[in-house]
Amino acid sequence: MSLTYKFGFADDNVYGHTVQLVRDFGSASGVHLDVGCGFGAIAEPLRDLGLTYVGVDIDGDGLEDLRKRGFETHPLDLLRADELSSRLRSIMGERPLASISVLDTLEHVTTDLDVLSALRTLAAGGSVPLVISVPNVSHRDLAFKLLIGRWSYTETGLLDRTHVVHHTERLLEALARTSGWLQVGQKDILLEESDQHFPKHSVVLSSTSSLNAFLRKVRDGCDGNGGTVQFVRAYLPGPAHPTPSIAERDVPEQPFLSVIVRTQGRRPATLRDALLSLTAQTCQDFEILVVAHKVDTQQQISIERQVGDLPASFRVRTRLVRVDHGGRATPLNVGFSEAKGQYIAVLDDDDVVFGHWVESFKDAAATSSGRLLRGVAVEQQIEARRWTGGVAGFHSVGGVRKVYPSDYDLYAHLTQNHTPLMCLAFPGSLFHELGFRFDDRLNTCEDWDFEMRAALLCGVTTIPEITSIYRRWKKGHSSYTLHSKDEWRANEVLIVSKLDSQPHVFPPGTVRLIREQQALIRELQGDQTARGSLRPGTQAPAPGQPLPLRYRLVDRLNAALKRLPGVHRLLKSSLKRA
Amino acid sequence: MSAKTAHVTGPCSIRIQSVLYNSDPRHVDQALESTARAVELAFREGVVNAAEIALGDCSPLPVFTLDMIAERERRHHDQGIRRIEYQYFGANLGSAAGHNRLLGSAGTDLVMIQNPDVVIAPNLIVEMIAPLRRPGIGQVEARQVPLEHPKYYDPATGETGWASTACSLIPRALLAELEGFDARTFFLYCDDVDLSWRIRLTGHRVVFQPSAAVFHDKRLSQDGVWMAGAAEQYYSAEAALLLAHKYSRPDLAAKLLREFENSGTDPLIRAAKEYRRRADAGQLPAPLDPEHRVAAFVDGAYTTHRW
Repeated sequence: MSLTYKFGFADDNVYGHTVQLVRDFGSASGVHLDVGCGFGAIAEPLRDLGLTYVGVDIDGDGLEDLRKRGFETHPLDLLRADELSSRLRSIMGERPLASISVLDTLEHVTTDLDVLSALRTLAAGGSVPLVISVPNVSHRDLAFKLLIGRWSYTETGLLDRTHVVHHTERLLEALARTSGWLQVGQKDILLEESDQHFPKHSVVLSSTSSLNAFLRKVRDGCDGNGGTVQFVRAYLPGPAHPTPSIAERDVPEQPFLSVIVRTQGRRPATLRDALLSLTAQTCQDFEILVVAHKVDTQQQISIERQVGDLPASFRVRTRLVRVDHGGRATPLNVGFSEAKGQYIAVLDDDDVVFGHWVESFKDAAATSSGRLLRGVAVEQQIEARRWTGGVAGFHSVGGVRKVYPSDYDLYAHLTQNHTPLMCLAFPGSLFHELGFRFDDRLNTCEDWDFEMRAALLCGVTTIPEITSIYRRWKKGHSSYTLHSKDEWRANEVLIVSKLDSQPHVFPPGTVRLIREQQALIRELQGDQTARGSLRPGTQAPAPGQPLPLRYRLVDRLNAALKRLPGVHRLLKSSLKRA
Repeated sequence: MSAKTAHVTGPCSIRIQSVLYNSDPRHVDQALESTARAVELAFREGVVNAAEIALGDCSPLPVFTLDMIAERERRHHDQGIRRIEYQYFGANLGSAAGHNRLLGSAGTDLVMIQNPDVVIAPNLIVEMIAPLRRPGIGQVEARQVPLEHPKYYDPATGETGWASTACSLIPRALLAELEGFDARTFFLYCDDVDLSWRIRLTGHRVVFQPSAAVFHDKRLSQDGVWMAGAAEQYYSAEAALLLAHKYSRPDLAAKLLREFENSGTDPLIRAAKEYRRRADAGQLPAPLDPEHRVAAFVDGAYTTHRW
């Protein structure tokens, strides 16, 4: 080994963090075994802690350097998997093992699992911490450069040309779990700009570019490792949980849809309807999570009984999840985290769906994978009422009304939500991979907030079919009656503020719409120069028959802003005042 | 239990029967599973002591083989279904005649008439039987989900003008006394309105039981309105004329006849033509309820609607 890998100790580098973890989790005396020790930058600090440092490596330069500094060393070839355990036992002899480190080594060998398993065997029976350090190839710099086709090997660093394995947190977790190491500590090395942050003015890398801002939003939403250059993790011996470190292309069998039924246990009658309408779906490729939020014991028993009463083929796909804390968003987040489906949909316990609700989602997903799926609900008013025998029930007080549009207008939804939550099926990937969460700060509109973020990222596929009924309570509890207008307004302000603080990808056609809207606004403001700039959807006045300005504008508004109902309303009201 | 009092005093036997027509076996299986589960829970509650299912098949080709039925019988036996009777009719008898044919082999205390593609709530049978413990109840109707029927019902007693047989429970003795549905008059629609009115003419009440929910897979158009096909238009129109005649409203029958004939709508014109043919052939039923005690014709509906 050349001096390429001879790095010094510092409190804030990998070596300093390793020594801190050894101090936090290891014994004060005994042998510290440094596997793949290189030049042993941690040798002296560990000796200062009272430990007996022993370095093992295949490279002679590092071992020689350590020996000259007075430390015990042994040659060890980590690729000889069959000899590892016996060699390690031989090196240790009868001496007590205090701690182990494997720093910047596993990425150089294809026997990583063998190494960790041999060390686990060596540590059996004792509370021996293991510190592992590996580079993180999911750092933003690498991820964004790969997006534009660059994968820049260097002599050292994140993409050392000699690395044979590229680690992500998920891979490291899989290796540790499989070999029986339980993570107990974490002191990663964080660097906003890694050694891969070149060329400096790259649009994907520069933190001032819009593209970088968008990519950063996506990357940072996924996990907390976007700025991590080096994972430095401490483990203790634990049970082995075989976890695949090699990805399977074929996803294990999972339902198409997870249906989260959110209930507070106060409406057993409508909950029964919701479950019945699910039982009767023409497509049964779904699981159900009944998320009981802040229910008391009697309510829980009632819900358990309803679930227990379901037909067997349905009951086995139904789980009851109890959540005792948080606001309206919490049961949704818990439900989403438990969901195994490729898509996830939500019903409140007073919603009811038509027989093709799931089937319509599945049909749409077949051609729109990864997009937000949106069906249509009709609305029906109900009110609480005692049924015969005094049972708490409800009563429909009107027919169904189609109040929600068949088409999904993204821009109209930025002004007001026109889509009840049960009309939507979200890709599970949003939650499980991209880190989307319902905002716990919101006690109303938490669905609108989540929906808008999802719609902007996924795009929306419209299912024009009416697949659900949104039941609006004329009397009785609902979010409309429980929260004040001020709360609704404050939540709306927060949601818009959050959306506006982030860059977004808008769908094709947005530029034209904005131009039309801008032109109309200018025209309304009396900017005569903008007149005539409208093209699509406008009607030219008959020759020699100019319409009065006011009517001309109304025509243009109606024609050009059909796709912008929110703005349309606003402008029309302005026009009336004019 | 007697037809006169028609009320349940203890555990009773029940038959659940449906008439199939080109039904998807998967949908029938869904219905069977939900029915078997409701039977199982009714046994557990002690309200049922025997249960059977009867399927009458009007399809051009049988929906099930006998082996398939035997397999389903085994599947649901432990849930309390003592047998599944399957009759292949070999002809499209219609709903009313199909049910009547099935009733010929019924020997249970109660008969539940239901559509072949409905899915019932687990507590439905228990809830449906409960009103029959009160004297004078002749028919109990379940609440349909997702689209509840707009018929008016008394909020305290559940009493209503008529009951849909998408899912209805009736004492068998009462059905026998009435000789079942009027299959000579009605083929597909309003046979249930007629049955309810004849039940009421015997002095029994018809009640709507909202706590008993049944999923009836109805759909709406993309505009949010009920989609009536040409067959539904035809049979509904024909039934409207026949009901008006049968329940002593010749004035209404004549009015409807004129409207249908001048409607320009083919199914309505055909319905009017068929009515005239029956009248000319002397095939109209003898009028009932001359004092209009039970029959109600309200804005094209057969009782007051809530909306």
